[in-house]
Amino acid sequence: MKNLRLKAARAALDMSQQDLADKVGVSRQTINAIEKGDYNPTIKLCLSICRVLGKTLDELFWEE
Amino acid sequence: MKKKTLASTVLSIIIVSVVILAAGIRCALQPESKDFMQFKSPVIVTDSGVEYELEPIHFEPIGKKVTFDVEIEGPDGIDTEAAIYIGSPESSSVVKEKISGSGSAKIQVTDADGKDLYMKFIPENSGSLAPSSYSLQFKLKGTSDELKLHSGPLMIAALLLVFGIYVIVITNRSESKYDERQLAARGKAAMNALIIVMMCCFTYGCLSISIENFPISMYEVGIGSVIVGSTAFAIMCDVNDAFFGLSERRAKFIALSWVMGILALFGAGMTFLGLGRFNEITGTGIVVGICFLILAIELTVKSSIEKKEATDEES
Repeated sequence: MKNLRLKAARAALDMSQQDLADKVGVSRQTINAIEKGDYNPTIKLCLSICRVLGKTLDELFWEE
Repeated sequence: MKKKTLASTVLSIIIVSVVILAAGIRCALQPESKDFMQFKSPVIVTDSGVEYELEPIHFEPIGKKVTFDVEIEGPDGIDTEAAIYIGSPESSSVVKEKISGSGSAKIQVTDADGKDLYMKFIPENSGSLAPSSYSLQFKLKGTSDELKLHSGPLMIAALLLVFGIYVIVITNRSESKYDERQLAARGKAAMNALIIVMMCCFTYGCLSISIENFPISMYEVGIGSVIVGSTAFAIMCDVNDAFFGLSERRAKFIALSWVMGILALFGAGMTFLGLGRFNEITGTGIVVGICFLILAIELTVKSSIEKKEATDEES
């Protein structure tokens, strides 16, 4: 399932996938895979992404 | 540098140094390749001359300078001429020595590299022997100035040197070179590559059992399987965007793959046409060339897809 909330949060900060990847310390393809729902990140990576984007885990990764 | 990394690096350097030192000592103790042969031959002295059955001895020496130590035991009165011919025993001799009765001589050829050498012994009656049957005993020792290519210690040293460098490179590599998704993808690719290698070996085993005189050697299959497995690993990693680390440059490796593939196929082609020196590596060279070319094509295609994806994402 696509993670549109992550994509929206990133776009809101005017960040590209590469920018976010550089700040989190992963490859651009990994961010792309998370946004497309092809890869389930570990809790460690989720927390890093949340910190960079200023969001909580619930806001970005909790499925309702 | 971390403690563990430092320890493994130091250990690798020590292992490699010890092996190189051991190989050096071994080579110093036996600096030359040597061959030794001994044989007897009857010689019949008649009124008209000497009859003998000594065929020319063929040598394929390794090294440029070859020295033969010839020792002959025979009756006084028989002078034996030992002569060396290059290319054909029918050509004119390049060097010859005469040994009277029992004696020895050193015969040296200074330009023997890669050439066929023939040694002929021609006994003659110096006039003092009565017609009868005699026996000549020959001892022949050949010494070249070059170590054999398959010299064991050097090969082992070279292999361990490569292994040592690999260990040093691997242990010094930053742990954050690949992210968690890439590491998972690489793990899966490694497992699949191992299965491919095992399948190659299994297929070879089945074929070599069922087909008599199967033309591919175990050596070629071993190297070929590892190359095919490594290529499969690289392609599976790259398809999942896990071949290159976070800060690695793709272009350099793509160029290297093209060069390696073309060079390997060129080398194999030269050998196939009879212009190369090591006939047994033709098959392996073709496999290496094809694998590198497939990898280069895959990397090039994936690179263009990646560029397009990155551009689309930006727009």
